[in-house]
Amino acid sequence: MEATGDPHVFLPLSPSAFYIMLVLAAEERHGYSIAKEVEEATNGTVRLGPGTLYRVIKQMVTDGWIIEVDRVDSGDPRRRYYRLTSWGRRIARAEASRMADAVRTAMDRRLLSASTFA
Amino acid sequence: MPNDVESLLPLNPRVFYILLSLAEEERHGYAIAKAVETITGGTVRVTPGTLYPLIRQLLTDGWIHELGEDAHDPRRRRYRLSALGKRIAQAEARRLDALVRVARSFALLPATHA
Amino acid sequence: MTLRRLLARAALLTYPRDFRSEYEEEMLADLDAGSANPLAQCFDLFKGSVRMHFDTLARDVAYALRRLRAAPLFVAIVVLTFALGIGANVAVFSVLDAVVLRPLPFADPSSLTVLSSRGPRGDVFPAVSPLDAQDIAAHERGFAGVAATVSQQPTLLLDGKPYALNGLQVSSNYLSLLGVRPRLGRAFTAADGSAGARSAIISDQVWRERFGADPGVVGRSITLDGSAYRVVGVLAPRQLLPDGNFAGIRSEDVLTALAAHLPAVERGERMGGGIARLASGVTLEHANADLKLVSADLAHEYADTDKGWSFFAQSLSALALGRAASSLWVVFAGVVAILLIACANVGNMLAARWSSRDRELAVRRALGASSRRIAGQLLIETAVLATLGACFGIALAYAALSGLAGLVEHALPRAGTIGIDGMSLLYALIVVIVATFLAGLSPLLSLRATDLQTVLKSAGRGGDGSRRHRLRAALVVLEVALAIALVTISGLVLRSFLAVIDTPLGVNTSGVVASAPVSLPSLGLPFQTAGNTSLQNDVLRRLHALAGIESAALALTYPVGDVELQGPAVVFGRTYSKGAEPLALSNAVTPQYFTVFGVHPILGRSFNDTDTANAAPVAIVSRRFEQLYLRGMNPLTARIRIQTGPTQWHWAQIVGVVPDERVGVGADADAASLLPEYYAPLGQLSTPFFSAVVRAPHLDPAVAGREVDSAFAAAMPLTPAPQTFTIAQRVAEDTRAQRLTTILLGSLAAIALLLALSGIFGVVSFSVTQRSREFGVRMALGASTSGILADVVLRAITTTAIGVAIGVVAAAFAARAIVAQLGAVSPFDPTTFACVVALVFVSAAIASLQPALRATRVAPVEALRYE
Repeated sequence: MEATGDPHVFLPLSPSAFYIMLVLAAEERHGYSIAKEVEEATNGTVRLGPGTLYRVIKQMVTDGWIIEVDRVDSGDPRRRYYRLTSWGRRIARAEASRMADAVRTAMDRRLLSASTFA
Repeated sequence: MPNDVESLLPLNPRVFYILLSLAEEERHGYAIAKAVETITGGTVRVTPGTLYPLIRQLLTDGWIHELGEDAHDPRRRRYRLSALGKRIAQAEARRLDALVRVARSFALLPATHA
Repeated sequence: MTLRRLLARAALLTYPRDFRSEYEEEMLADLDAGSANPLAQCFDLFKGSVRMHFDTLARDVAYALRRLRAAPLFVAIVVLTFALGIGANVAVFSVLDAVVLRPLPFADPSSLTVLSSRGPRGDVFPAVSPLDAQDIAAHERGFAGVAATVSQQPTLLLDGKPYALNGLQVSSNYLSLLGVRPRLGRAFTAADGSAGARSAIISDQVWRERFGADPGVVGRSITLDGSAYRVVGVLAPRQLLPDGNFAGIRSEDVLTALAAHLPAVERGERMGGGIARLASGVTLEHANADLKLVSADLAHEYADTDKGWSFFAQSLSALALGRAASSLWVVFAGVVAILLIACANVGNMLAARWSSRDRELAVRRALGASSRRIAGQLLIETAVLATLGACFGIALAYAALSGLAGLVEHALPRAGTIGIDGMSLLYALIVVIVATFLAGLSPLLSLRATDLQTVLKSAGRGGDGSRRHRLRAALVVLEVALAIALVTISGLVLRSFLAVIDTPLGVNTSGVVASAPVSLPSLGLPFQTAGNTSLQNDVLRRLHALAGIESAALALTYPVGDVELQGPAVVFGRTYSKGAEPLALSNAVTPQYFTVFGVHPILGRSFNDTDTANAAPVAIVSRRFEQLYLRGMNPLTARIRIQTGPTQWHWAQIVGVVPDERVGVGADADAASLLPEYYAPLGQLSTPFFSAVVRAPHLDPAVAGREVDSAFAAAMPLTPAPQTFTIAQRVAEDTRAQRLTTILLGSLAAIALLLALSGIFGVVSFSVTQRSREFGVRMALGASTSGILADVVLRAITTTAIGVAIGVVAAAFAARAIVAQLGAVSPFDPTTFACVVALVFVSAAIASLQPALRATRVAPVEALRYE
């Protein structure tokens, strides 16, 4: 079930949603690994608790942005893996573009000079 | 100092756009809404039902200041970014920038965004 | 005013006033300049408003939770108080809803009536004979339909095993009149009412337990009381039905169709019931007026049976639920009163808490928070407390209802449907809202009266406090009085109940297992002495053969048995005026009866095996009988008259006198006195039933019971085995109603006591807050901690003492009113009164301890600062 349409309707995404989609953009992961990856990628500033994590994941599965994949892991057979659908990837891209545009506007407005970026 | 600002992130994207629009110049509510629309090319809209509650919250939190009536339209009041608000906006911009870099590395965005 | 503006203004009305005053103009200007359609704009405004209110609410709740976390003791007490008040309400409401408020499970239940008879002496009972019911149906036009019922207890024979069932014989229109449809199969039709049709409908429980829920049961043939019946339907689970008689509504195991002509039931035997449905538009009064005429006709036509009798109809729901309804509404009024008291207490405690933080609130107001806003936040705090209280209260109610389910089952109709359901939760929600306002409003109002300046300058110099404080103290005095009265009364009732359970029965009942009465199978003629005797002997022989059974006997009844028989005590040679013969309890027993109960004759001998039907008639009397009726004669030479059959009797020679046995337990005066009793040998009488009693001191009662059952099953294979029990179990069953009353009263008393204590806590807290400056000054001047403690606690005790005095007087009056129910316990029993008073004083002292400690912790410097 691949949705079509304008991904911009869904913007802006909530930060949690975008973080999850971002780490899934690289490879498919299971829930716990998503949370860990987000924590690492943000240097510990963003920690997704299990409540938020699975609530958002469930909603995104329902909306068709990610799908569940069955994978048998040697360690723990119960894990469910998730992967971005192509529709989800388009939404993530649109959000990333939006953010990039926002950053550029910030620089253009000389609110933020290039030197504020480490 | 930068540390405690970090704890306020991530911002509600609309809040960031409001701060961004005030970074350039002082504006009243309607102008803020228009500016946000322009910045995002129509993708993000802030309607009055959302805008004014947010403005009031930003005022309470001290991220923006109120400046008195607008010269052209006495019904409206103008706002400007406070020093705290500016620091918060900068922090959020840095956060977004980091995310954008990560997105590029995951091929969600082309290497240099057109 | 354009449509756009109109819609926008309407939506903007939902925003908080202070927000509107600042931003309304700007928002309207924006909307005018915008191009979106007015409806979408309006909707967006609504969304914003809802989100704003919700955010505010969430923030207020979080704020309230944060503040409450800092005062755990206060929260615990308030939540407990609410829990008691709300929990009691939810419990009682659930019972009220299930038993009284819910309509009966029939079509248009308000039009259903029960036909009843009024006899020539004015006695009234809900029964008619089926023939009368038929005639009423034919002549009374006010009824849309009449169905006749006859109670029965058929034996189901399944795979050679007999089972006792509760059943109803009904006319074929019974189920359709009620609007009840069987779950499987069909209801009775007119064809089922014809002679020889023999149709039956079984209950869901019988279907599951006896037929394994087999859907093919419809059409099967079953054996009831030796005859073959065809199953035509299965009722829905837990179906309640009216039996047309005293039981009101209850579940039946089996329904059989009444044959249209009824040979076995006489017109004069008012052993049946009738259910009549009022025709549409006909009122009960109207129908009864008509029935009077019909009754007159019937009395005239069947003068020998119906002369002096009249018939009338009563509402089915009133009959089935009326008595329960009136008691339950009284109990409901009681718990509403408890809720009001609980809210008053919480109000006290909230007032103490909020006023002690007057400064914080006054400062917030000075910084711009509107009074309304603060009031809203304080109400939210109250609502949070009430909600927490409700959660615990619902849990308490659930526990109470589950715990009392067994006792309540026998006391209330439809008790099986009682539970915490959607309606109970809805009621709980309403109670939470009401309680929040009741508890929170008064302290809020007194808060608004506080002047900003006064508070900032001299915290706690509340002049307004003293009058309010006196009112609050008066309320607490009343609560203490109520608590004393309730606890004392329930203490007395408890003692009376314990005394009843421990009533010595005059005989040794340990190790005795008795059986319920077993009806002898009808062998054509009801009292065929010879056949019955051999059956009884068979049972007795088998009982004696059982291992572990020391002695065994058969009897018509036994102490605390279900059956109580009385007969005239006529002594040979004495004359009595007609109808004025004295009465005595009567019993018929086999020789070992007295041995089973460890009783030895005081004079003469017990029965033995030579006292058979062919031998000379003999009798044994109790000591009381001898004292009352055989004075001045040697009892062993007297003869008394014994009824041996429905119309037969003979003179029996007294051969022995035995000690008295008490045959019933109860708190009323009747049971307190011993009644005279006489015994005849079972073999010399014809009886339609008998029980077994055995003495098996070394066997577990359940095992002994099974052995007794096996003896019956072997001797009478077609009769269901009787229930067996120990005497102690019988006492427990007989005192069930009293146990329920004791428990309920005790619970009410406990709640009243806890509420009174929380009331004391609240009022003392408040007083300490008001006097905090005074305490600070005293401590600064060198007063000791113990001195301040003593001051506060003593003041609390004094207030309590007034309440105690009033309560003791009230308790004495109330106790005197129920002296009949107290039996042997004196209504002014000093031990009970003393214990209760001591308990209340000690707990009042403890309740005032925490505020007293708080008084000693006031920093003197701070108190002096505002001098």
